Amino acid sequence: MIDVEPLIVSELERLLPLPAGGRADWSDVLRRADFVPARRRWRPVLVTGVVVAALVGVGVAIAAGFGAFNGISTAQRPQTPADKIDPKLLAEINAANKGSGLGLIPGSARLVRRLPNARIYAVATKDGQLCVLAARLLNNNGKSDAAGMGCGSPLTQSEPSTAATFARNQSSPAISWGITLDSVTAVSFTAGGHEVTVPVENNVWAYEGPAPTHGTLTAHFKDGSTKPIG
Amino acid sequence: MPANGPLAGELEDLYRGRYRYFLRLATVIVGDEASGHDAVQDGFAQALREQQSFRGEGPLEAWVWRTVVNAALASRRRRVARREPPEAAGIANANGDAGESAVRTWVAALPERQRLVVYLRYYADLDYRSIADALGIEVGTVSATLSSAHQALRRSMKEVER
Repeated sequence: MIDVEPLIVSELERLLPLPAGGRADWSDVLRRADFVPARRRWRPVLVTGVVVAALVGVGVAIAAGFGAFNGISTAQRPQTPADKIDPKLLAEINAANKGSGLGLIPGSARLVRRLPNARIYAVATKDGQLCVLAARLLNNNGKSDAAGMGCGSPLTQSEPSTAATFARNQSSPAISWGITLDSVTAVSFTAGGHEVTVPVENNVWAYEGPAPTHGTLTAHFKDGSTKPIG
Repeated sequence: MPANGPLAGELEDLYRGRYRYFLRLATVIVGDEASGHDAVQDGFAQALREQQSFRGEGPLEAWVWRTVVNAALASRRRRVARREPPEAAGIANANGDAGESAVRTWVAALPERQRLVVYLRYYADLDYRSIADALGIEVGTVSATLSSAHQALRRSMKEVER
């Protein structure tokens, strides 16, 4: 008897080979299932002795484990000693936000970018929020001991970047930064009356100069499309 | 209970491990890959929402196949309603090959449910029990369908040999 099964398999395979899996997107499944928490606006979190001038952004993903880092490849790796936040700073943040239910997970901290005057960390909270911490900012005392942090719902395709600005005083240039999804290649905004475009490297953009005008941030995607964020 | 339900982790693992297989089956039903992807996404989203209704009487994967197949069939019905017919016989020839093989002719001639049995067996590589669970039919029906298919193909091949 002829074994026809291999023939069927090969013929069907020829008709429709196994497609590539590039479209797979679990976070999209979660959105379609309405398993995303209600959107929480990005908000500054108190850090002792620091003023964060502006924080805007962002969207949502899922609140399980470090799902706060969904779509942020740079943060999706095991923690190394370099990722650990100074325990003293961590204690200050927790003390300043006592009673707010902030719930930072120290083990989730990932150093995503070293800048000349800052270190940018992504940190998850127990309820799935994404926090972006900038530490070792140059303070008014001339020491790099300032810090600023914002927390909000994780990133989504519709709100794919955070944005924060820090200036130690009115006469100093501001440092602005944000964490983005992998699909974002650059952000643009108006700063000092000019349109500025800043590339994204390893999920982080950073800009030193006049602070971005509120409501002008736009994300630029790999496919050439853009998305105003606010 | 985890925020996403007790089966969320298993569903995510299944999605990540078998997405391409789900996509191929949905594509062959709906007629194009973009709509097939939508059907897979919708099927898994429905599985997540309704995971509490999974009673564990069969494999979780078969239960998910059922939601994805239903999502693909619903998508195809919507296309027909919009007068956008899927590919003939529900199968897209990715190679653009106009040649008709015995297998292809046989698949095209099958009633829809039997065609789904064939696709689940050979595209999704499911066993008979899982196919039965996925389509809500008896294992015997699965067996009979595939047996008939094999016999029909053998006949076709013998005729060609003459």
